[in-house]
Amino acid sequence: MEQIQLLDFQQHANLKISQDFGVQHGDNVSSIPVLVNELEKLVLDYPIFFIKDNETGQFGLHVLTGFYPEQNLYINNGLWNSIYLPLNISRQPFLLGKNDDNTANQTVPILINRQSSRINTHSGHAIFESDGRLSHYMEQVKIDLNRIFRGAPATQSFIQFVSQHGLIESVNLDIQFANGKSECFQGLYTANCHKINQLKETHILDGARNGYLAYMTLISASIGNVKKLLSVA
Amino acid sequence: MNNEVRTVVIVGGGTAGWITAGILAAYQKKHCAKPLKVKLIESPNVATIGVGEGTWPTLRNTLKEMGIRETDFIRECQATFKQGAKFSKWCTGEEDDFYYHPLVLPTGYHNINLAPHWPSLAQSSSFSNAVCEQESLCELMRAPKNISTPEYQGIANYSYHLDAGKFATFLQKHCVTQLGVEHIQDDVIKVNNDDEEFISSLSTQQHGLLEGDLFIDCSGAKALLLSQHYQIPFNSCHDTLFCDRAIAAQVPYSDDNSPIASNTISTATSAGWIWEIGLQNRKGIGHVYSSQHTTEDQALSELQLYLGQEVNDLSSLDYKQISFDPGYREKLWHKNCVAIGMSAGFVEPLEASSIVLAEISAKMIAEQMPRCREVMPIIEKRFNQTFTYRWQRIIDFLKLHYALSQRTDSQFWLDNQDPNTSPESLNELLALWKYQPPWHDDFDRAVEVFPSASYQYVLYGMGFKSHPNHSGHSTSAAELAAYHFNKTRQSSQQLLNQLPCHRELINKIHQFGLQTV
Repeated sequence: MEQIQLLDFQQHANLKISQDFGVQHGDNVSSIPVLVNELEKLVLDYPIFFIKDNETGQFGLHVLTGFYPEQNLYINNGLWNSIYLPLNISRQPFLLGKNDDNTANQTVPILINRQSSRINTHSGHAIFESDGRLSHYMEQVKIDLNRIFRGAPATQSFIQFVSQHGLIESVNLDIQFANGKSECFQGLYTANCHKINQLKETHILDGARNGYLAYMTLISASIGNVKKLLSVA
Repeated sequence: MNNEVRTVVIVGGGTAGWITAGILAAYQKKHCAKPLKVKLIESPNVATIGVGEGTWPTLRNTLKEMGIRETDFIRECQATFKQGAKFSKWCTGEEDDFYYHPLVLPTGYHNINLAPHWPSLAQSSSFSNAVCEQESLCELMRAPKNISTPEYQGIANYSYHLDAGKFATFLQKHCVTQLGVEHIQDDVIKVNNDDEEFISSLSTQQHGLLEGDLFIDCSGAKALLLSQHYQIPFNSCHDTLFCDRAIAAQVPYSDDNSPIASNTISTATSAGWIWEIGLQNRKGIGHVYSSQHTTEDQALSELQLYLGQEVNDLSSLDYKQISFDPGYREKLWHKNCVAIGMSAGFVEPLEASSIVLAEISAKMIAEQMPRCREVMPIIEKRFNQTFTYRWQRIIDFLKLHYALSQRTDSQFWLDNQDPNTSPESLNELLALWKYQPPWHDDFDRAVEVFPSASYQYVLYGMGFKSHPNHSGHSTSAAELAAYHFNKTRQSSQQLLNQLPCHRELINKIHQFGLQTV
C-alpha cells in the first residue's frame, strides 16, 4: 500500500478518522508550525514564536505547546484543551497534492496519509457519506486544507519581510515553574513592533497593506499565553 | 580652531586601504551629523599583493560595524572559518610533533589560571585539549557554529580565512555604495607639503590636486608617503625573525565537497615553515623561509615535497615569489600622515597579524580622529607609542615560536634558539615564566594583540616547563582546577555532538544564509 494516496470514494469509503489526541498519533510535540491566516484565532490560546529550523537555520512560524521535547501541554486525557486547533493538527491525516501546472480551475487534489494511526474503520468521523459525497467533517477538513493552501505562501512572504527588515528579535524565556525550579529557554524569537517606525515609508506601507504589521502585533501580544502554558505545566 | 580636519585621503586600495576606509567611514556615519569625507586613491597600475588570508576574531566586529552581512561576506570572499592554528614539527620536527594555538581562552580564564595545575591534574591531554574544546573541533574539521547560530555569533570563537583579492573588491563595493567613500583610480605623481611640512595635497595623473587634512599611507611596502616622501627610517627585525622570502601557490581541492580544515596549518621546514589555509574553492599553500639559511631552489623543492601530498601535477601550479624585509617603521605617524598595512611594517604571517593590525590601527584613528592640526602632534605621539609597542609584542610573540624549538637539524633552528637573537623583553618574560606561568598582569596594556592565553598555548604546546610552585596549591584551588578540566572534557564532547562539519556549514550558508538574529 502506498503511504500517500489520492482521496477516493471507492478506495476509502469506509474509513474513519479518530478524533482523540496523544502520543499514539505523534501529537506529543512541543511546537507546531502555523500560518499567518490563522494567527487571529491562535492568539486566543497559544504563544506564537518564530523558531529556526535546525537543518536550514531559516525561520518558521510556530505555536509553543510545551517547554521540553515531546511535551504537549494542550493535550489532556486524549482531549485538546483549547478553543482553536491549529490547521496543521486539524487537517490530519489529509494533505494537499500538487495540481498539474496547466489546469485552469486551480483545484488541488486531496491526499490521505495511510500510515496515520488516526485512520480506522470503527471510531471517529467518516470521510464519506454513503452516497459518496464528502461528510460534514470532511467538508470542514477541505476548508482547512484550502486555508493552508492560501496561507503557506503568505506565511513565507511574511517571514521574508520580517527577516529582511530586521523585525525579528530573540526572546529569552525565563520560566519559574510551580515547583520552584526555574529555567531559561532559548531559540525563541518574536516580532519587534518598535522597529517598524525605523523602516522606510514604502516598507511600512508595504507591511501594512499585506497585513504584516497586524501579524506582528498578534505574535508579539501572544507571548502572554506562555502563562496559560505554565498554568498546566 | 584652525585647520579643521574635514577630508581624509587614503593612498592604496589593497586590503589595508579598504579596511581603513570602511572603519573610518562607518564610524563617522554612526557618530557624526556631518561625516568627514573619506577618499581613497588607488593606482590602476599597481597589483595588490593579496596573499594575506588569515585573520583574527576582531574581524567579525569590524565587518559588523561596517554594516556588512556575514552571509554576503562568506559567499563573496570564499571565506571559511578559522578556529586557530596547528603547528606541526615546530618542537622536535618528528612526524607526530604538533600543538594547537586555538582562539578560545582556556576555560575559566577570568577566574583561574589552569596552567600551573595542568602538569599535576591533566597532563595526559595536550595543554590545549586540557583547557579548551577547540583542538578536538579542529582535528575533526568541525565548524565553530550551526546554521541556526546568528551572524557573527559563534559557539566556539572564530575568525576567517579569506581570498584577499576578493575581499578587497568586496570591501570596495561596500565602502563606495553604502558608506560614501569616494574612490579615485589614478596614480599619485607628487606629494605636496605646506610650509609646516604637512602634506597639503597629492598631485595626480588625471585628477589634478587631491587635497586633504589627514593622509593615510596604505600603499604597501614601498610606503609612498611615510618612506618615499618623509624618509621615515625602517626598523628591521631581521636579526630576530629570519624569514624574509615566501613562495605562494594556490591548490584546488580534489572535489567540490572535500573537507575544509577549520584552522591554519603551519608546518616547520628546515629553514622556515609552510602555511596551509583552506578556502571554499582552493587552498592557499606557501613556504616562508630565511634567505640566509636556504636557497630559493631548496625552498621550492621543500614546498613541492609538501604539495606532493595534495597535487599530482606540480608543474601545473603558479608559484608567486615574495620578498620582504621584516620590521616596521620607526614612526608610524608623522605630521598628518599615518601608515597602515605593509607601509607600516611587515613580518612573516605566522600568527596572521597583518589584517588585525590594520583593523586596530584604523579603529584607533577613527576613535581618536584629530579634529584639527593643533592636536595632531598629541595623537601622533599616542599612536606611535601604542603601535611601536604592538609591533614589539608581535615580534616577541613570533620569536617565541622559534626560541622554544628543540630542533637541531639545521642552522636556522640553531640560530633561532640562540638567546642573543631574541629581544631582551622576550628573554625576560621567558626567565619569569620558568617559575610562574603567564597571567593577565604580565603585559602593559588592557588590550593586547596576543593575550597571555596565547603565550600559554605556545609555551605549553611546545613543551616549555614552568617549575612547580614550592608553596604548592591549596585544596580549594586544586579542586577548582579539577572542576574546570572536567568541565572542558564534557563540553568538548557536547560540542562535537552539536557542531556540523565545516564544509557542510559553508554549503548551507550558500544555500540558506545565516540569520542576523
